[in-house]
Amino acid sequence: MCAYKQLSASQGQHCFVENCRMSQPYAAPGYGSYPYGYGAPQGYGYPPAAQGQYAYDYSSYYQQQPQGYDANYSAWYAQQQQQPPASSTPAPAGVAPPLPKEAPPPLPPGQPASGRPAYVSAAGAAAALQQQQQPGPTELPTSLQQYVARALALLGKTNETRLELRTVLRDTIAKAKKEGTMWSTDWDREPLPVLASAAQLSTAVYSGRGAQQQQQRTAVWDRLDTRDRDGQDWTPSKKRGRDAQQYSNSSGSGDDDGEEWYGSYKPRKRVELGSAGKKQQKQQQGKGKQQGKKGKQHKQRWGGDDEVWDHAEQAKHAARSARFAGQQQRSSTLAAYGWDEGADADDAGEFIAGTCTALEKGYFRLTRAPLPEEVRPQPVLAAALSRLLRMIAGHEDKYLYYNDQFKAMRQDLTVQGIKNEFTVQVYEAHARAALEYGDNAEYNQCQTQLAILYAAGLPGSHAEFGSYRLLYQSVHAAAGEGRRLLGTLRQLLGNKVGAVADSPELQHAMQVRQALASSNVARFFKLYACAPRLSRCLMDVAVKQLRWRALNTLVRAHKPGPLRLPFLTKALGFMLPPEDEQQQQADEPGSGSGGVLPMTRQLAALTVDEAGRLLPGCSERSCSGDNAPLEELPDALAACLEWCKQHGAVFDSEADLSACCLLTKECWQKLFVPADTTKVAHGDVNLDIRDFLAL
Amino acid sequence: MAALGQVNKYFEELSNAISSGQAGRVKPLLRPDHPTAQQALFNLTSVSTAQLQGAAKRWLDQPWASIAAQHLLALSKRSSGRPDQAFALYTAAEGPAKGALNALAEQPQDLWVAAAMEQTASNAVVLAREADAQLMLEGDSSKSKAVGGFLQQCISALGPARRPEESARRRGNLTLLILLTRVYMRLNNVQGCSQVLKNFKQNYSGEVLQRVPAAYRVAAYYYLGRTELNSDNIAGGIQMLQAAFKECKADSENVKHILRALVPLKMLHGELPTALLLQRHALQEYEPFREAIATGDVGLFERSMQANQYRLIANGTYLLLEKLRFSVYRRLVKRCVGIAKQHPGRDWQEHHLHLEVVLRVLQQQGVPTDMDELECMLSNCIVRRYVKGYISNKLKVLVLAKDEPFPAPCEEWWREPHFVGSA
Repeated sequence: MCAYKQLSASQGQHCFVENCRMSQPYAAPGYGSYPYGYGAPQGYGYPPAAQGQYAYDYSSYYQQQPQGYDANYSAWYAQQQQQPPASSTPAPAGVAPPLPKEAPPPLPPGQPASGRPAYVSAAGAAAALQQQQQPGPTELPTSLQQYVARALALLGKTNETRLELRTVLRDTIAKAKKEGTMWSTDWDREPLPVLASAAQLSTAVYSGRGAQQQQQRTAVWDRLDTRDRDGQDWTPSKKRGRDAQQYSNSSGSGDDDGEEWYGSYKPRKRVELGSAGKKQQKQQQGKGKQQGKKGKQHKQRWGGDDEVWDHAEQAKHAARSARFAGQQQRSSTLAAYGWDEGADADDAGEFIAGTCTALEKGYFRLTRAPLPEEVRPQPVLAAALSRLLRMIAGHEDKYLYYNDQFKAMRQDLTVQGIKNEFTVQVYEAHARAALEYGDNAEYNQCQTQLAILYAAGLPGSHAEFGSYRLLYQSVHAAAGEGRRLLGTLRQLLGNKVGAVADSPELQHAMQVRQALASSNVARFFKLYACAPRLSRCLMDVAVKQLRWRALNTLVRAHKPGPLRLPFLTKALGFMLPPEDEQQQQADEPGSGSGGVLPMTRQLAALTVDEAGRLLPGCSERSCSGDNAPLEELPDALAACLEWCKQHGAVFDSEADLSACCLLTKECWQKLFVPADTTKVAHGDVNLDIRDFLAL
Repeated sequence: MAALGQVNKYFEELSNAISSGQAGRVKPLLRPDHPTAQQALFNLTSVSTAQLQGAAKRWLDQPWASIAAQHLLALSKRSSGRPDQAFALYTAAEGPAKGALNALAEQPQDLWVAAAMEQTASNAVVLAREADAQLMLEGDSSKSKAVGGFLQQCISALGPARRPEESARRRGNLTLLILLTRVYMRLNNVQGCSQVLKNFKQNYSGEVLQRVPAAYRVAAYYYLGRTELNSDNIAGGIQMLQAAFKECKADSENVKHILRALVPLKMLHGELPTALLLQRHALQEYEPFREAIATGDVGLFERSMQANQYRLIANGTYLLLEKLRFSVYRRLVKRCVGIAKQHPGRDWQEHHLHLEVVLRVLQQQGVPTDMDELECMLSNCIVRRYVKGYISNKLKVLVLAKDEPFPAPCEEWWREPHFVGSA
């Protein structure tokens, strides 16, 4: 169902992120010749699709790589990286992709009942994927054969369902033949049939709670829907489709209550419908209390028509409380999927198995139990991930878009209860992308989940992300993260999650932490110069405070004498001593202070693996960082002078920079932190308001 | 019947202990490793639950009959390799821990009830730990988290002693607080620890704590002192730990644990332990640090930090010891000044110290550093009041204050210096 919407959304231009691209749809190499709502593009390392076939070959997943796919993913990704993109580009870049020859057929009546999620066990689905499908008759289109295979794999788990499925499929095919739509129907996007027994199954899974409760929940949702959406059946994708004929992100229809806004323009309204999980619930309860106490303040802050607002809010609040009444608490929320620690064992069994095949899906925070046809199974997610990684590596879009896609992927994983190597890959890639862009909040979410996944013994880049975690907690130590530091150290150095204690990354992070703890700026910037992977992105967070503290410390400690600018330049990390000197020192036998620096500046900040391939989620081959020390002395002197003057420092003569001195007596009480001119209300400098209001 | 004979024997002993009303007799019987209990467990598989409960009822009154029966049942689950099931049984609504808690709430003056409650609560914690250890393959510490919630429930159900004569309730409450701190510490839940600390400070201010035996006070002071340290309250920590040290029996094993946290704190305060003390309590890991501070050997300090890294982190004193670095630098400067005074060069001036000298000493000690880093470190020492004076950037000379160049330990030593406009 949502696939159709994906199509209509994706046929147009992807204008959400960038205005200038409005008239120029995706024409990326290996990607351009068909709308991306369809399936994996060609040139991704899949077997090349036949002529006139829009979608990629699903059978390659279901038959060849049902489970091993995720394990092979890296190698696979590398392989498609190496392939010259031109070879797999049917359409030249810059030319709009041809539309499919025929518009997708209208939704057949009686197709997936949107209000009835077919709950099936995710574990069972995985096992079923391995089952071999019956060989289809040769005169059927390949995509139809794959459709049958898909249906069998996902729905035909027991003998009864398989039998039933066979009759249903036979009817479908016969009908298509009769109507002559067999070859024109896009079977890759055709929703899977819904079986009568599957409907029973879904109630059976809920039997622990009873169908009555389920009804009750539906009733509540109906009520909400009726109130908010004029009785229309409401799905996220439908809503999106309401906007222009293009893929617009969730921001497209920001006037809706449940909408998630990136810049949180409506922080308060955000919780009204979009509540998920116990935490939110608690917040809401807390908020309710607050409202009771500080009703007046509240009104003032909001202004406008207080009465009406309060009334509406009260009604919504009542609806919210009703929704969570009784034992039903977690079933309609993300927490029901066993993702949070407190979930009961029987909750964990209620994962759904998705049937959606769209590679592109925007994030929408769930406001009700997700439907299988809106959720993508792991093989599709894997294809979506590789597509996204390819886009990132090719700088095809903005982070805003990647982030949205990653979040949708994470949500799909969560609701299906997929916690395996692939999950780790998604989180790692998202964490890297967030780090590279500087989205610390999103990074922190990934980090938290990664810590849980790693602790569960899943493989991954333990050393890299262990060091990031240590760095994150070190640079945010003043903001309360410092209390967690000891636990993290205990875990990492005790090799509790993978043998990481002796890895150069972690050793580096340990030294950074030490430099931060002893306010040793000079050392910090030496370490900055040889920071591995994306560590600089995290170290950047600390630079501002560290430099400011260091300037104050130096000025106070040198009062009343002057401070020479070349010294300041080095001490504040605008320039570094040449590396050979440093290495000599490091090579000295028995050197203390953490021993040898294992990372060298040549190896620093590379975001490629040993084979020279870009790490998943990164777009640049090295991470330069915002505060990399300068190479040339005059530049560094000028930069340092400029920075110090911005902070209220007074210098004598600026004629000769190398002889210029900071006059400590004149300025030691006048130092200040300049107002941050780069700050914007929505918190992200790189984000323009026009990104949202795509005209 | 032989199987039931051992079970009967256990119940009989428990019944006798309870009727004697002696805490010292009841408590060990409820330990998981009590010999009679172990004997009873030996044949428990051939005894049905109904038989077990029947036997318990024959010997004991409610609620102790069901407590004892559930206790044995949980222990049998544990010995058959299912500590998670044992934990679930133990913390169930009718389980031994809750049962003893309710009994204590009804009899807040009988010390033996408090003893039974303490032991059952402690058993629950132990079972949770064992269950987690078993589930560790799945990277789970959910049972420990669960036991944290359980203890919280117990604390709020029991409440602090309302009247002075409710000594049993007081002991029970204190025990639960201590157990909860331990659980939270193992989980690295600093927030939870500070909440317990807050609860403790509210209910046990002034004389109240003097009414419980010293053992309770020592345990409370120790755990809460460490909580203070974790939340960077050095002054509070040192006060608590010192109180614990004072109250603790000299020959107790606990002295070592207390000293392990107390010694770095004392060093931070400028008081070095004697080598004998460290030796007597097997705290040799602090010996190099003591020496480094005594001699101003930065190299030794850094090397010992590196070498003892894992042990110190496991003990939870790593971040504390790290704060000693400035003390070592202070000592180094002090010694350099003294030596320069004894062997004055041509350009020697009373309060001047050439940084070149310090740098060379550092290089001799094996510290990879340069003049810029040294100046940064010494600037920090000055701003944090380890050393009084200023640095001449042009001449590379540390000019010490004429009066009190090395001030006495003060709070600025372990506090981050504050600058206007800093976060």
